[in-house]
Amino acid sequence: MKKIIVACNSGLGTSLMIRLNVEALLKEWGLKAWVEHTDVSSVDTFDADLIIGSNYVMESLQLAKDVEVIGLDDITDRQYLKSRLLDSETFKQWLAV
Amino acid sequence: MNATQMISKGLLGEPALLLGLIAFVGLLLQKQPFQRLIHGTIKTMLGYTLLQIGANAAGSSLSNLSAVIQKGFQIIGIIPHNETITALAQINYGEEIALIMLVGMIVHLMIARFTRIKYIFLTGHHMLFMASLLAGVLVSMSMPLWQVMVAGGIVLAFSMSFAPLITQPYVRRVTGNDDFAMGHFNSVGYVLSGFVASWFKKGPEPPESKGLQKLRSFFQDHMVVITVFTFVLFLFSGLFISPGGIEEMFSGRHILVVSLIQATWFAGGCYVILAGVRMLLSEIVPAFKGIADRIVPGAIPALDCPVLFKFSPFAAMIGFLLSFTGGLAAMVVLLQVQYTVIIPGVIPHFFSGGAAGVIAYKIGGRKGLIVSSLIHGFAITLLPTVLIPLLSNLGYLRATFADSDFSVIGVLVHELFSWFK
Repeated sequence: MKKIIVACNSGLGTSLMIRLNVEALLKEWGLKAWVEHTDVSSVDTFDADLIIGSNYVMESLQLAKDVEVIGLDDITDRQYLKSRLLDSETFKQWLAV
Repeated sequence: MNATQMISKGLLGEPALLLGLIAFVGLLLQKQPFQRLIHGTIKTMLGYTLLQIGANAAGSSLSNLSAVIQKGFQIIGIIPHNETITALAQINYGEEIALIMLVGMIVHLMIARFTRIKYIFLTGHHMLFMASLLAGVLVSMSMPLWQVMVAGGIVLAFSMSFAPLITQPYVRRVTGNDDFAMGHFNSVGYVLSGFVASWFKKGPEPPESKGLQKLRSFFQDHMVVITVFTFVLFLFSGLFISPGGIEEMFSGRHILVVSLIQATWFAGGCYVILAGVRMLLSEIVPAFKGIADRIVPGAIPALDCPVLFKFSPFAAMIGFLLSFTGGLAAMVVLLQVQYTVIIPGVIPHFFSGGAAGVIAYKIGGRKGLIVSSLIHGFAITLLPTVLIPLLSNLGYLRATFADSDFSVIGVLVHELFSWFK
């Protein structure tokens, strides 16, 4: 199963909001994935296929592995999130299968 | 034990089980599949347990720190840190807190459904913090459980509706619309910040410098920031005690070792608490949002304060730094007048100070940002001092709530209910 991690500073409020939007979009597309939200410190421990968060926070990520990161300029707009996800390599592969 | 006792003592008397039950009912109402039902219920209970474990670790380091500060400076240093104080409050008032949250969410949905205040407060952890504050204050007034639950729930519901309402005029000036509101219990600070900034005129926007960007990137990882900050606090306070004194307190260890270990214990405790809060709320908040979407169409979501950061990352960083400076000034003032001192916390100033900075900057430009942030930091550091005596029954602890609304509502509730008696 695909693993999506949503991260924010403390892993409480903002990441949960983005996660709810991601989950709603996955449902819309009929995709199944494991979505979890967390704080920046823990991102590397999850072995994710895709990492999502606000651009503000994603800029500071230092990842050990090669994984696709989506930095959002607008963290509240679901349509914007949708277009960013559809543009991502991970989702392109995923939707093609 | 009969059936009623089984329910009141066994099921509801244990907060972990009570919260699990709330999650279970929520998931059931959403008609989730069986596997999800079990998963969500267990994770909620686990989250609660993590909270208690983390509180022990962070609390032990905190009491060591306060012992060092007390010995070194002859003062009591209190750290405003929402997560820690909430976790400590959970140890004694878990049941009250869970029930206040439940009543609060229901009444808050009713306010949004039947009045014109259509905000839905979605910042789950602040909901939990406010419920913890209310439980602490109300239980100390020796009210029976049902009164704590009803009074606390109603106050929580009103706070959740009014905090976004009073900040919205300023938030609207930042975002340009009513797509979302601020669901963050520093609304008093934001209003103060916006009000002060409105004395100034807005100039052109400067670009963010490279140095500021690097600094900003460092502050994104809170576990690192908390560790470094606590280490410095320990080391600095320890320097005011003779080397023998520290070794006596910590079984012969050197001050550097003590500071490093204690700092990682505190940050480690915070990490576990955060993981617990996250697990607890990742089931409750989506359920709450799901219900809200259904019964309050057209409601405005009230979100966590970092949503404002992107409107001016520059102002968020400057707002944090100046707010923290204002906090240090407030600490110096407190040192002059009393024995109990609030040590400004990096995390509350980062979040509240950052968002307040964005508001100030969008309204009052650079001058507005500078003046407003300093005043904001000064005010939110002084405010918790009024709260300390009200939280005394939480036991021996050297932590308090950080953001302004907790202090203001704590005092208001205390005054209001002492007047009723």
